[in-house]
Formats: sequence, structure tokens, C-alpha cells
Amino acid sequence: MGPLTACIVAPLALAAATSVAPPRAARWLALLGALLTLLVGGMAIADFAARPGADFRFVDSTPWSTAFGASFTFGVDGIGAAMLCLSGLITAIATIAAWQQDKWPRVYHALVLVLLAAMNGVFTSLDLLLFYVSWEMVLLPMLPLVGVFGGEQRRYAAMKFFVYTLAGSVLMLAMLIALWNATPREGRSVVVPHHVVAAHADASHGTLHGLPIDLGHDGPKQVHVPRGFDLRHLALQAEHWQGANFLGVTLAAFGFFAVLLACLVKIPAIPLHTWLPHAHVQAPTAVSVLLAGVLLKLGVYGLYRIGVPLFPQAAAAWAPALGGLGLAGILWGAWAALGQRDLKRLVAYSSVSHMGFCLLGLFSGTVAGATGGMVQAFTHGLSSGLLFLLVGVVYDRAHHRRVDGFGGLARPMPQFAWILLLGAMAGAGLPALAGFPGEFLVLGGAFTATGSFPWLGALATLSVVLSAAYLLWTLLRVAYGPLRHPEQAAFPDLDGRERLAAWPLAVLLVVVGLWPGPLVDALRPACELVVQTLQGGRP
Amino acid sequence: MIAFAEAFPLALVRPEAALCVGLFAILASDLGPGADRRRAGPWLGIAAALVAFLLALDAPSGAVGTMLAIDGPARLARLLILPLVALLLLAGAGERRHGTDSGAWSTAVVGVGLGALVTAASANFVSAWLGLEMLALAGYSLVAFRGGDRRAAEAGMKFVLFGGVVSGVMLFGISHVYGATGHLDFAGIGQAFANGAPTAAGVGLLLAGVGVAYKLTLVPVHFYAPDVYQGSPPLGVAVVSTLPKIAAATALVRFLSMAVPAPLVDHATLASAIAVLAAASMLFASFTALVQRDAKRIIAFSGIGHGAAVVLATACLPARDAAAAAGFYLLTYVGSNVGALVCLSVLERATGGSGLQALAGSWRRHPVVSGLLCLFLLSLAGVPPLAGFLGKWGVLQQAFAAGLGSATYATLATAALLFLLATAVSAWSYLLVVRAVVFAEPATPSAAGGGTVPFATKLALAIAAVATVGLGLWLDGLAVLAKAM
Repeated sequence: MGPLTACIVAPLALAAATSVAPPRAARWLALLGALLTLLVGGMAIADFAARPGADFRFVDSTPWSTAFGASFTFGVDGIGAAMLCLSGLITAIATIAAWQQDKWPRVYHALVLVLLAAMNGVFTSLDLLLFYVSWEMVLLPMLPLVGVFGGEQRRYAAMKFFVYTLAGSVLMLAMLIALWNATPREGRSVVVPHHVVAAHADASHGTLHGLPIDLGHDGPKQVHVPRGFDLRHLALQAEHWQGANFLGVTLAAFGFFAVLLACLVKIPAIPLHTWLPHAHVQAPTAVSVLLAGVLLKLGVYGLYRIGVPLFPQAAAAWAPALGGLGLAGILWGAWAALGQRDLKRLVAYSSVSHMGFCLLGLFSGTVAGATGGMVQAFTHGLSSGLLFLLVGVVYDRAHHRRVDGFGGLARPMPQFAWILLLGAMAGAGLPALAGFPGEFLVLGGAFTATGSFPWLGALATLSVVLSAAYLLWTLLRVAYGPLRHPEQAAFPDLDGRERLAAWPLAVLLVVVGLWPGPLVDALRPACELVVQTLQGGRP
Repeated sequence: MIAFAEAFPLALVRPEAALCVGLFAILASDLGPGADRRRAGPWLGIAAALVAFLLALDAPSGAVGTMLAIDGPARLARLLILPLVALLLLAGAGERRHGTDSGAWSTAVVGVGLGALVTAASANFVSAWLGLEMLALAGYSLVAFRGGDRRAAEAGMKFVLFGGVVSGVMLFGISHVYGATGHLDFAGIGQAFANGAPTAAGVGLLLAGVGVAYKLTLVPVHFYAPDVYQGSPPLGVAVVSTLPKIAAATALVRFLSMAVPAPLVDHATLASAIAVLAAASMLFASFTALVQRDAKRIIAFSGIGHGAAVVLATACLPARDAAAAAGFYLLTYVGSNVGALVCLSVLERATGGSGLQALAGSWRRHPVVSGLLCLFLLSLAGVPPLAGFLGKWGVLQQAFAAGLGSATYATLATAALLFLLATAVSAWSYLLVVRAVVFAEPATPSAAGGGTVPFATKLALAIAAVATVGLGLWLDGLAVLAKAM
């Protein structure tokens, strides 16, 4: 069992172990699972930072079904490594945030561990069926995590979240089956694009994605792809999906639409974002941290890993519209955030805005943009996680989250105010903090891209003003000024557990902001390949 | 004697015979002395079903005259029906231990099982009708099996009346088919139709099909299910919502492949018509379930939708593996469905009803059973990695393979897309139950627990849970079933 398989198996085993562990020990098991993931993710990202490449590493395969050609194949490129790292980090932080979980701690931490396994499954699987199963499995623990452990309207929020996201991804199942049906039983020979050979071929073994390939000659390189669900093999057959028919449209167009729908719901992009404010407001703090920190990234990841590589022509055809959708999300999210009175809703809408950059960056079709989109996904995980934690901190003390119900908290809670300042600045994309490199790269990419993208980029810069406005204005009202509610003078500052959850994120926001090098180095080659694929799809 | 053995080769029907022996053993044990004798019923039945299952594992193929055909689908149906009978009896042994019915309940369950076996193997309208009647008669008593309960009596009455009408319609249709072709066996009818047949005979076939559609709760003959299920004890629902579906689906597979030749109706038209019927059922069931406020009614609409999914798989016949997909779908459905109903039986005993309001906050009384109920319901909703997902996978795969292959079959692919839509919609109705059972607080906070769960019930739930989780990852299961046929 390789390290990546362990990232799935260990959390599941630990989840089972919580049923026999003492209630107070369950949190340690959850922390253990998260730290293990973080360790493997960190190891992988360090490997990619040291030896940049777009290849898949730590590949590790266990047979699943011979009849369908599916297998438990795990592997990461730079993108997967970064996301795995984020998944472990945010889960560890969320576990610390929920350290005092007193309602059914064993059930709670077991669910978090199942969620961790499912998220890790999405970020590391190289098998489309496994990807889909992991993708849907995320919903199973989320349903009770919101519905049982959430706030006042948790029931409605949990059901809405579940059905909304399930409905978004059902078409993906149709796509999976259609892809399988469109492959001949004996597989097919395909010509491999030059850039894929350059990025992935293992010259010493004469293989490409585990398939024998003749690299000796100068002409077009061919491989024989078996029928199955290996993502890498499916991506090689992009031309065939473009040629196949699905009820009157090309299979590629249908497939891309299916992936897009599933991903846009998860990201969430407007107008499919309406589940998010509900889910966030009703979820307990730690689950909000997970939701904003990791779950939203599933959508972005799905587009980088499935949408563009499998259906590049369709993606290229839709790119301008999706860039526009990204911009719409950026501006609408920021505008809506300005008007929120509930702190959690405010951060939720700011997520809609920030995640819009990922769409804009990817579909700008530039290396800078695509890399920036992924950097943004990573850093948004840090900053939104931190902001949700801090909202949880004041909620624990005041039992409400109304923006106008606070004022001058910097006086009783100086440390809280400093970290909130840092988180807000990072969220607003201030240079030298983690929010900056991602947005900067995306905007830079959009300006150098063709078509309408420079205009989209120009309009997206408006969000810098808007996000500074809603974040700093909120900061001002909550933390500074006179102490408007005298009872809040007695609020204690961050306690040890809260510090332990908040400081690592705060430190990382500064570190990644000042020194984004390793992260960008790890992400860049893989993103470059995605962009090459996308550009190869242009007519 | 030799002539009898030739006409009725007992070797072919050993599993049926074993179950029959079990049925009489239960009746006989009831006559014996001792206060504990009623406890023996379920266990005798379980033993008989397991023996029959072992006999069915390696059974020969063949035909019993023109009456029964022990072919691939029939053998597969046995492998589904017999363990299911054992599981139902096991659940009954736990849940009905306070019943005063002696061996009657177990007899009725075994009777339904026997009727299902006969229907599943029938290659003749006579045996099909007899099998369906046996299923129905035993089923009526199970539905009304709650002495003094007016709702159960009402449910039983409705079931009898509707069932009687449908069986009359079916006989009426059969008589026309016989009049037009001079045959009652599927093969003979098929041959007669191949040489051309009057329209009346086609209508006769359609009417005869109503009986099968009724058992599969297909729209528009689904209407009885919600009312009947709501009034019936959950375990009765567990029996009548599963065994008849397996039997009717198997009979349908054989009927379609033997009695409906190409000259009568173009294959693409037939497949499309079946697919349209299935899609209509799914959509109807998923949307109607949204407004239900009783867990058993939701289970009923879920059964309508799941029956339709099986029918969609039969629309893909004679494609290789379509019957296996239907079989695997039924396997995953019955595991989760029986599990859910056993959970409801436990909760109903504790809370006094299956209305969503009565069930509110059940987790306080039975946390584990409530959690398992959610697991089963999510499997019925088809969420991976649970069993229901893989069942759906097989059916969708067949429908897309047939529907995307050629333009004349495009209806099948459209039906498959509608199936996915219905899946997403129906998820909400399952969540209504989940919400009541685990998210809500009890309406009247009571400190009293829900009582203990008997060992047999726990065992039955454990088996259903293992099937629900385990089958979901058994991707090769479809291929194994296909090979078994």
C-alpha cells in the first residue's frame, strides 16, 4: 500500500476505530488522520517543488473490477499534491476547532474522517469511476455533519445542500457510462500529442501512463489504450469523444457539460451558488471551515483534472463564456457580501467572489492564469478557513453573528483582532499576503489572453476594491471603534485551542504571501499541461 | 410411474420442493404441543429456504413440460428469492416474537416465496397465473396481519379488491390470446404470432401484461401500493414489495423473449414503449413522493420507481447482460428495502406509527437503528458507494449501450437520462424520512427508551447492512450474475 492509498484507507480505518475508542479519544484519531494526509501531501508538494514536472507521482494501483476496467489507482501531479496538502491541513485545523465537541464526539469525528477519506479520494484518484464515487461520497458525511450538528435551520440546509449537489452531479454518471460504452471492447490505438509525450512518457521503461509506447522513432507516437476508466487513458482519447454522438450532440459536449454542471455547483459559480449561504450559516464552525477550505476546491479541481483534459475542444469552445461566468461570480459575490448582515453569510459570499478567480484564470487559457487559479484555490482555503474560524470565535462568545452586534472587540480581544486583520487583508488580496499571488497571476493571465479576457480581467480588478471594502469595513465595525456593547468588554481573548487552530493558518498566509515560490513551482508544470491541452482544443 | 417422472422431472424443481416441504413442516409444527412451538415456524422456514438455496446453487437447466422453464433467469431468480425468504423470516422471528399467530405468518411468507419461484419459472400463462395468485393470496394475509387494526384490515381489503380485479383482467386477456392462437405456453404463442395474428390477440397480450405490471407497481397500475403499504405492518410491506417484483420481472423477461415475436411488434417500438412506460413511472413516483408525509408511503413510491428501473433494464433485452442488470438491480434493491422496512418495524413499535411526525426524533430511542435506516434510504437513493448506486449503474449502462448505439433506440437513452433526473428528485423524499428520524427532536420528549431490539432483528439488520455496503463496491457482481445465467 503506497502513501496515497494510505490517505484513503487510514482515515476509513480510523473512522471505524472511533466506534471502539473512548469518546474523548475520537478527536485524536481524527487529528491523526488529518496529519497523516498533511504529511503525505507535504511530502508530495516538496517533491514537485524540488523536481518540477507535470507527471503523476506516487502512482499506486489496486485492481477493482476486471469487467469494467476500473481500479483503485491513486496518483498526484502538482495540483493533486497541493489539494491533498490543503485537505489534510484544513481537516487538522477543523478538528482542533471542534476539539470540545461534546455532542456525540465519536460520531462527529468518525464522520469527519469519512469526509477526509472521500476528499482525499477525489484529489488523488486517477480512475474516473473512483473519482465519481469519492465525489458523491463526500455528501454522505456532510449530510449529518450539517443536519445533526448544525444550527437552527440545519435540517433544511443539509437537505438542500445534499440534493442540490447530488442533482448537479447525476449527469456525470451518464457521462461515465457513455464514455465506457463509446470505447470498443478491445480498446483502441491513439496518437499521443507531442506535449503529452514530453510531459509523461517514461523513456527508461518505454511506457506512457503504464502503457507500452515506442519512443524510438521520430514520427507520431501511438499507444494502445484499453477499455476502462483510467483518467489518463480517457484523456488520450479526447478526439474520439469529440467524434462520438450522444443524443444529437457530441459526446465531448455532453461530457463537458456534465462535468461543468457538477463542478459549478460545488465551486459554487453563480447562478448555482444558492445552496452555499444556507449550508455555511447552518453548519457548525468546523464544518464551515471544511466546506470553504476544501469542499469548494473540489469543483475547481474537477475542471482541471476531468473537464479540460478529457474534453479540450468543448472546454475551449465554452472558455469565453466561462471566463465571463467567473467574472460574474467575482463581482456578484463581492457585491452581495457588501450587503450581508450575518458574518458567516458575508464570508460565504466572499467565497463565491474569490472562487470566481479560479474559473477566470483557468479559462483564460494562459499558464499564468491557470496556475493563478490553482494558487487562488489553495490560498482561499487558508484565508476563508481562518475567517470562518474567527467568526466561530465571536459566535461562541456572543451567540450571534450580526455584524452590527459587535464593535471595538480589539480592546478585550487584541490577538483576535490582529488575526482578523491579517485574514481580512489576505482575503482582500493585499500584497505580501497569501491572497495576492493567486489573484495577481489570474489578472496577469487574463490581460495577456486573447479575445475578451483582457476586458474581463480589467473588470475583475474592481473586485479588489469591493473586497477591500466589505472586508475592511466589517473589520472596522467588528474590531475597532468604541466598544458598543458593554457586555463584550468581558469577552476573553483567544484561548489556547483557538490559538492553535488560528495561528498555523495566519502564519501560512504570511509565508505563502511572501514566498509563494514552492507552491507555484509545484503547480506550474501541471497547469501548463492543462493549458496546452486547452489550447490544443482550439479550432 | 416412469411416465410421471418424464412429464414431471423432480430433479429440476428440487429447490421448489424443498421450500414446499418447509411450508408443510411449519404447519405441522404448529399442531405439536408446547408453548414455544410458534417459535419454531420461522426457523423451520429459514432452514428450508437455505436448503433450497444450496440445491439451487448447482441446479440443472431444463423444462417441466410447457409449464416451467428452469433457464438462466429462473435460476438467477431462485438465488435472489430464497435468501430473501430466509432474511424476511429472520426479521419476522425477531419482530413478531410477541405475535399470537403461531406459524401462520411464517407459512404466509414461505407461501409468497413459493409463488414467486413458480411465477419466476413459468413458461405458460397457466403456471404464471397460478404463481401470481399464490403470491397474491399469501400476500393479502400478510398485509392485513395485525389483528384488530382497522388500517391493516383496510389495507388488506384494498389489496384483495384491486388484486382480484387485476387478476380478472389478466385472465380475460389470456382467454383472448388462447382464443386467437390456441396456445397458453409462451413458446407456442410466440410461434402463432410469428405467422400473423389478429389485433385482438395483441390486445389480449397487453391485458395479460397488466398482471405483471401490477406486481411491478408500474404506472398506471401502481395506485394500490401507497395505500396498501401505509396500512400494512412494515414486515408485510417488506414481503409484498420485494418477492413479487423479482417474480414478475423474471416472468416479464421470459415473456418478452418468448411470446413477443418481431412480426407482431417491431423490436425498437416495443423497447421504446417499455422505456417510456418505465420513465413515466419513475418520474411520477419521484415527484409524487415529495409530498408524502408517511415513511411507508415514501417506501411505496420508492418501490414504484425501483420497479420501473427494472422494467427499463428489460427494455434493453435481448442485449447481453440486460437480464443480469435487472437481477443485480433487484438484489441491491431488496437488500436495502428490506433493511429499511425492518428498521421501520422497530421504530414503529417504539413510536406507534410510521408517519413522519410520529417518527420525529426516533434517534433518541434507537440511535443505531435510526442510523441504519438512513444508510438504507441513502442506498435506495442511489448514493455511491452504497449498493443502490451499483444497481443503477448496471441498468443505466444497458440503457445507454442500447440507446446510444442506434438512433432508433434513442428513447432508451432519453429514458436513462430521465431516470437520473428522477434519482435526483427522489433523493429529497428519502431525506424527508432522514430528517424526521435523525435530524428532528421528538415531539413529546420522553425519557422512556424504545425497548430492546431482539437478536434475530439485529442479525437481519446486520445482513442487510453488509449487503448494502458490500454490494456497492462489488463492481464485478454484474459480470458474475451475467455468467451465472
